[in-house]
Amino acid sequence: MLKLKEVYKTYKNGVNALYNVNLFIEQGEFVYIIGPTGSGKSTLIKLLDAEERPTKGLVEVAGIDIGKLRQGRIPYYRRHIGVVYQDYKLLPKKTVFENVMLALQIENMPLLPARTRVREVLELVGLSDKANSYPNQLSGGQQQRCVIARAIASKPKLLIADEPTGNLDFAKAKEIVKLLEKINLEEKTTLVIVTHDVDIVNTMRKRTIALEDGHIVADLKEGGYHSNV
Amino acid sequence: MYKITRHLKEAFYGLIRHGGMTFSSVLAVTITLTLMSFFLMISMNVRNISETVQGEIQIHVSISNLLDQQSITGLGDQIKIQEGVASISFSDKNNELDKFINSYGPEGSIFEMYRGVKNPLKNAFIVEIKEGADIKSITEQIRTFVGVDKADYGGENTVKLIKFMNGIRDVGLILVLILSSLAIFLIANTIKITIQARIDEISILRTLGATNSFIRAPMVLEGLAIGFIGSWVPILLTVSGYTWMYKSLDGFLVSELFVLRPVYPFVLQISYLLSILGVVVGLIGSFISVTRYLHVKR
Repeated sequence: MLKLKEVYKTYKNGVNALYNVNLFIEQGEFVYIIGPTGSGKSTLIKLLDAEERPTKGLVEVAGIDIGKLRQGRIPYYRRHIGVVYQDYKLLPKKTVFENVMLALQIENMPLLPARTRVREVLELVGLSDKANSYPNQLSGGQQQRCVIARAIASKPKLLIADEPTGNLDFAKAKEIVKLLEKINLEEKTTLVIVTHDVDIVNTMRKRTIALEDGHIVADLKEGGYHSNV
Repeated sequence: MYKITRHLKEAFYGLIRHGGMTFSSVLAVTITLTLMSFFLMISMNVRNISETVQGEIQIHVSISNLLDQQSITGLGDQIKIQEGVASISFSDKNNELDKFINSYGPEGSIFEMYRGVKNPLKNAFIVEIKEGADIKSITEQIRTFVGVDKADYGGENTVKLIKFMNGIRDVGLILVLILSSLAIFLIANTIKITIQARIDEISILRTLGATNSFIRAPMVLEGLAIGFIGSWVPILLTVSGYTWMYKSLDGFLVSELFVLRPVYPFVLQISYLLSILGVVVGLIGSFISVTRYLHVKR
């Protein structure tokens, strides 16, 4: 599903963000990527959602070589992956229903099946009763649920969550990770959660990959992480 | 289909949401199109007048009496193939005398005594030309032909007038082009500002896999709407202003030689042109702006 082979990333300003990263994630896996600020987590996400190209090496998602992806194909590639951000990135002038619907409009899904799918994912994330609310009428946890609903609406093969619990207290963060776990099981979506929240990683144990200074320093299949991150 | 409805809806909300911007761009387009309409009306009327004056001027070529019929035909052919000659017609000496007598009105009858063999006038060719400005050079060329006694035209002042009017017409059209570019620039700038206000929205759409055309469509539609709405006031001013002026001047400018274009269909043509110009500058302006922004981001 996700393959990184000898990946290096150096930015134009000379910053080396990733060194010789090798990683393989199977279809349907649930993986945490953990590391402190500046460890290369954000760069990894940028490579996965094709915002950046690797300087060297292979980044392959669902058989697509990101480095060779033509500019015009990037939007179509992005429809195969869902991204959940810490700062939500919801459109404030649109309701929850419209925000989720947007992903399907972009895909050009016919109106009726699109509406059905929106209701389905809102049900899944527990926001059916908030369909007509605007983002500013929702709590942080609810906004994150809405973003998750939007990210999975088009049934992506890969769901990347960038610090999805960053703005939430532990109880709410746990709820969100549980929801992501449910999506992983019910929708068979491969999940990559990028976080620096050690508590969550240690409470809800899954395969954990640790990044430090652009290197993978640990890949713990049994989960949990005890370093000073 | 519902994608189109979505773009239209988004464009409409965009216009409302950025009301201040919409108003200032519409105003900019309105002012520019009003000026354009003014220059277009001058230009097209001058063209009309210029064509009328041009139609009046002809080269009168007197043919030597020594030429036989075959040589006259040959001379006619020679003139006809001259560059810039639109048409020629033959007028025999009797016809020339008729025109001469008629030009004097009732008093012309005293020249009736010259009819028949006593007719002192000569056969002639009446030459019409394509461009008034070429009349002098063509006349000079014809004068050199064998069998031509005399070749004359309306005079230097007519040529100067035509050149002057052609100048006004060309300057008017150049101004219209300059104003079109100005309107495109104004719309492009306004849309650029609205893009700044939408950077977050655009980045969200990108992460969801929206193509550039999906992002661009509502903004281009907004530009189109701004251009179209911006043409309403200029159209109104054109129709009412030109109708008023035409009525006040009785359809003539200074003399009867300078005939103004009739109100209809002229104002309708200008109105169509203004709305098309508005839509086109709106489309181009917004397209340039959005495309420039979208190209720099991956």
